[in-house]
Amino acid sequence: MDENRREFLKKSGCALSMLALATQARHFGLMSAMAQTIDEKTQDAGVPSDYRALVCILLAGGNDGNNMIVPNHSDANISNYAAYSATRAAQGLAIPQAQLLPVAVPRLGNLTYGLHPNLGTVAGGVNNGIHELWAQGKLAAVVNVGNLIRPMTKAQYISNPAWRPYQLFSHSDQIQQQQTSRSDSPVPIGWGGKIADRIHASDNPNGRISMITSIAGTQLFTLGQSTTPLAIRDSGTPLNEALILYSKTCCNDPFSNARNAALAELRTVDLDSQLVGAASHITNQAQIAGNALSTFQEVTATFPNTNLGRQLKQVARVIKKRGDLSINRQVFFVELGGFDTHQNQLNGQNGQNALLVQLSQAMRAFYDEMGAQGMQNKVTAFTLSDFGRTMNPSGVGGNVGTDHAWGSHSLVMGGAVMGGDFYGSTRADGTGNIFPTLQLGGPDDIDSGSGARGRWLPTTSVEQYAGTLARWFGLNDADLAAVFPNIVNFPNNNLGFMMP
Amino acid sequence: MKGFSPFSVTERAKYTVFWLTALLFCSASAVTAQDENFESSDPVLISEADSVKALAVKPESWRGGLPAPNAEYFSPGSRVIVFVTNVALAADEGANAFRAFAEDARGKKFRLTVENVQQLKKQDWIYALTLQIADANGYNGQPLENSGVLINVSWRGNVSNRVKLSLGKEVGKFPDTTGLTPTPAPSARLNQTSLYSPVGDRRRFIEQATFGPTDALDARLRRIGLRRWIEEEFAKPYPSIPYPNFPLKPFDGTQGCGVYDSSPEVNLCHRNHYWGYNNQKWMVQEALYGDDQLRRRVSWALHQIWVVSQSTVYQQRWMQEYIEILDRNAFGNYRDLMTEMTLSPAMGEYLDMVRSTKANPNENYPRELLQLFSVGLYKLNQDGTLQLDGQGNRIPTYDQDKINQFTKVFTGWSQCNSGNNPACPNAVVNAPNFIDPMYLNFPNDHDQTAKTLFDYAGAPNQTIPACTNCTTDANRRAYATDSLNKTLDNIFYHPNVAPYIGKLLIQHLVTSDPSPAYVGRVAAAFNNNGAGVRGDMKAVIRAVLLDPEARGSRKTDPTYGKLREPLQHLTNFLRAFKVRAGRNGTNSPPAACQNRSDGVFDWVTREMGQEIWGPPTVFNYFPPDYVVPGTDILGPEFAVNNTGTSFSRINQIFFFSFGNIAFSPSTTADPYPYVPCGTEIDLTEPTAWMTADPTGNTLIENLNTKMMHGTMSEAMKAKIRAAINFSVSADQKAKQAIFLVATSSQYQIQR
Repeated sequence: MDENRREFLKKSGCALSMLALATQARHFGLMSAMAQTIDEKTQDAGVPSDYRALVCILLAGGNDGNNMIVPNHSDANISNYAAYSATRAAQGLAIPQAQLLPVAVPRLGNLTYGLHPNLGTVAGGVNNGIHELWAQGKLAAVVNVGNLIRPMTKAQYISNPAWRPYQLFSHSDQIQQQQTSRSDSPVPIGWGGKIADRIHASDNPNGRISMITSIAGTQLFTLGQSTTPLAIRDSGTPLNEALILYSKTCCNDPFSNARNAALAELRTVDLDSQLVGAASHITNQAQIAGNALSTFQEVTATFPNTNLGRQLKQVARVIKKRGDLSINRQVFFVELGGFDTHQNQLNGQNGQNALLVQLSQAMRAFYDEMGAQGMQNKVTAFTLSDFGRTMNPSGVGGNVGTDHAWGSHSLVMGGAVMGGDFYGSTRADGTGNIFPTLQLGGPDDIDSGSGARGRWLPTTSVEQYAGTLARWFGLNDADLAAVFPNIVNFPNNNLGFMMP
Repeated sequence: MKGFSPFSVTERAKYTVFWLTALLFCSASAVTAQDENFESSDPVLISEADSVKALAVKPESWRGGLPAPNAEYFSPGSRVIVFVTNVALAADEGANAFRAFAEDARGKKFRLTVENVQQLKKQDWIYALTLQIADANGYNGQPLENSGVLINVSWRGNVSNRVKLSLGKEVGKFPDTTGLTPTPAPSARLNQTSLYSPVGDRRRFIEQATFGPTDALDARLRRIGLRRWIEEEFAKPYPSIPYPNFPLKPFDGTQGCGVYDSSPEVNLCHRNHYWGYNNQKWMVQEALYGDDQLRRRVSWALHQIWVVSQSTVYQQRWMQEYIEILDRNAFGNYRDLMTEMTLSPAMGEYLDMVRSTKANPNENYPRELLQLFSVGLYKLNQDGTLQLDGQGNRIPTYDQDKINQFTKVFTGWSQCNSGNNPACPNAVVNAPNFIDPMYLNFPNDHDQTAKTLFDYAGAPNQTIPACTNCTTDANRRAYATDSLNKTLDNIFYHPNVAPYIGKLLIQHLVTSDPSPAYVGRVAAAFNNNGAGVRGDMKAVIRAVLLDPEARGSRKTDPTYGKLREPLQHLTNFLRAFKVRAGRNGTNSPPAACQNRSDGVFDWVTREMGQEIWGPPTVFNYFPPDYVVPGTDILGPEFAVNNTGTSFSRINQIFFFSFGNIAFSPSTTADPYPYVPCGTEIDLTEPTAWMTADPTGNTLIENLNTKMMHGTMSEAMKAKIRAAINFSVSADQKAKQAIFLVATSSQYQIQR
């Protein structure tokens, strides 16, 4: 074992690091040393007395954070609106200052920043959007957050290729890293799944469904070693019909009952094949969950009838049913795609402008529904995205878009959020502000020279961001270190945006 | 040493009986062109003489022959040499042709690393296998000190017997060893081929090479053999069902057809030109009835590598032109496919090359061309395993700087819209030209500076110099075209392409997690078709389908096989039962349907997790590196199999088994029905089997042969038999049995 690896093992101090090393090692031909089994985990004593849920909203394709949160001030000591406008106005991508929705940022001397206009009141909206939650202290932004293995400056980025996350700017790899929190090597399980691996048994001892529910299929975030998600359709399907077998609901006679009995029994044989076993296991999980979801109560808030609106409505229905499901801790996963706006970022149903309307309207409806259920302080929603996008646009005019970049901004919403502020770290050498300079080729841009596109080097890692959420959710220090093995590389594992 | 007796008397008797059957079969079909016996034997892991304890030795104490039984113990993480026989290794088969598994008393399964294979000098029918007693992946943790494990090995998808191995000083608890028998070293070569069932192998082959077995295909293969059938398919005309061929329309549907819902004709126009409807319908009909099955299957696999989605490329004709490129090149050369796809307007639209200019370069296409369509992210060995640097890290094939360089090459191309340009004969007024290849309409939009490309050993065109004569449009176009060809050559000759593409094709046709040895054999065929030609798809397809790891009548390796994607699940099921047009009550479908399914069931595959021609992203319907939940096995199709869609699969098969998709008659209100012919299976034959043999055995055995190539377990048969043992009509029993087989995990996994 080489020195780096030993150091790495020592630091992370837990089995998961071995898993990381070993993952895909089969493909690498890596001969790694022994790992402990992951299930020898620290057990928390006792079942929590309250309910908490995390709702992960994945903005797939790479959301352009640079147009989601914009400086709306003229302070010359920090990137201001003019700096933003200078890089985007000529191509037609800059949002006019008057249209920005102002938010005060105490962390930055109460300077005013602006949210994208579509995060507020919009024509045809079913609510006022999420902008006003900022002033209410229920919406926060984690700025310039991204996939990182360790903190580094631009100079360190340039001189230490090994410190970089693997395959920067590649969708598939960066969206994986957001979901696994692991930028050092690919692993087949995500941080939502890993959280569930560690506390589902202790916190949901009588839970009738998986700790994780996905309305967007079985994605990496939702997979643990012993955890597979409950995957159901959006609210277009009533919850009690989300998992039904027509073979069962159609008929009740001896012949049909024998069919359904055989259907279940066939899943108990021929398990020598691990693939047959895996397929049967998934169907078994569906059967168990389908029984648990056989009744439900409709939610009361008005949700927009959009892709994300229907997903979050289904989440709200499951939360409403939490008592019946005997579940105290839940993680949800929803996804809104289309953010890969290489072109037409401003236009059409698939441009970022339209997607942000959808995001804001759906999030606000969800927030209001949690209020109606009395669960606002118990449920926290947050966004992930592959990466940010280049500050420098691609194309011009009606076609204008942006290319793949790195650090970006995320939103966190809920009653337990210390909202109304920015969170994150300054550069690894302590210089600068938590908000990137927006200067092409500048200290926050990993590009240099005349061709610099503005790809921000994140100052805060996904692990810090996720770790802060996971701590609120109920993970102790040992669990945090296990789920987020690189978090020890960073100065703090709590960004402070969640109430204690 | 005792004489060899690895099998019980009854088992040996079974072998004898089998060989008689095989001989009879061969003589009966002696007049036809038969292939060689494709079956590989089952490896036998050697035990001590009187027990099922592995004959094993530490590498440091091994002296090169068969060791005497000894008291050595082995620790987790250390190496052990075990001995395997009854395998006939090809020259290129080494450690990467074997897998080794261990299971402990807790039921935990581990994949051990096979480090080395060495043929014994004296007893050259025996091979020494060096294993590391560690799971490289560690997914289930690791074997524990002082525990007992059962180990076995697999080769070409066939698994060996299991033997005991004690870990640690204290003999730990072993898993149940009931049924295991000693397999001491034989004194001579065994030459035991396992049970070969030609019909089983044929049916398996058809599952891999087509959209599902039919009796007619099976008969054809029986007559001419697998090799000749492949050549026959290579020569067949295509497509069997004409391409829908609707003419180009303007970008905007309202402009092209009128306001939706203003008349049935306007709606029909939208459906025909702007919806996925006709391409989906055509694809399903091709899959169900086409005679060009192998080309269709390979083309469908190529679609899932060179992904373009109707989510963006929404006109019928736009996608058709893309599909035609896949079809045309399925049996051609991979290099030609690269050129045609690069200049495809559909691809240009999907991955933005159409908008990439010198002033505003767009890196989307070049990035995916490298990452997904050719070399992949990391340097590979020729068997598809990752190359590692001195620190054990993967080695990226390129970095962002390289992407920027490649991006320059792909600037300046756009749709060929100028009507009077001879380069674009298919341009029409007011509609973007998605038929002719992209063109350098504005040659100054091409970046004429120098580019630095891949510099692997022997790489052609490592640099492309800046243009020195770009003073006229003709010269600028010539420079850009020449640069494109040189760049595609620079990519095509990268050593990664063969294992990268080879493995993907294996995953799409045969098995999700092939052994490196298999990947290596296919890569070799890609590198050289035997006549010095690289990228010959015919050679690659032969290598994929005729490989010993693909062939044989049944595969027992626990990691072998693939989950049928929703489309394959449906078409395999429907083709097994003479799929036809769907009656509406007692009404027969219109004569124009010719009693064939119209192929309209887009909502069915969508429910099951696959929108035909509409993958959600460039990473396909499911990514090739997806790992099956709860295991460490690659299983791309599992990415679209979750609690929700696993029930959808069962529900949709239920509708087809006990009901149908009825055709909709044309009416005044609905003159152009969405489902003009419907779809159903023909239950005549299964019902007759049930009537002829009320025990149900004939029915079940026929389903076993037709759907599961003869591998249905006795346990499975018993459960189905119990479920049809009721006083109901024969056709109800047939439906019940068909439903149970078609929804079973055993059927959903193609293996």
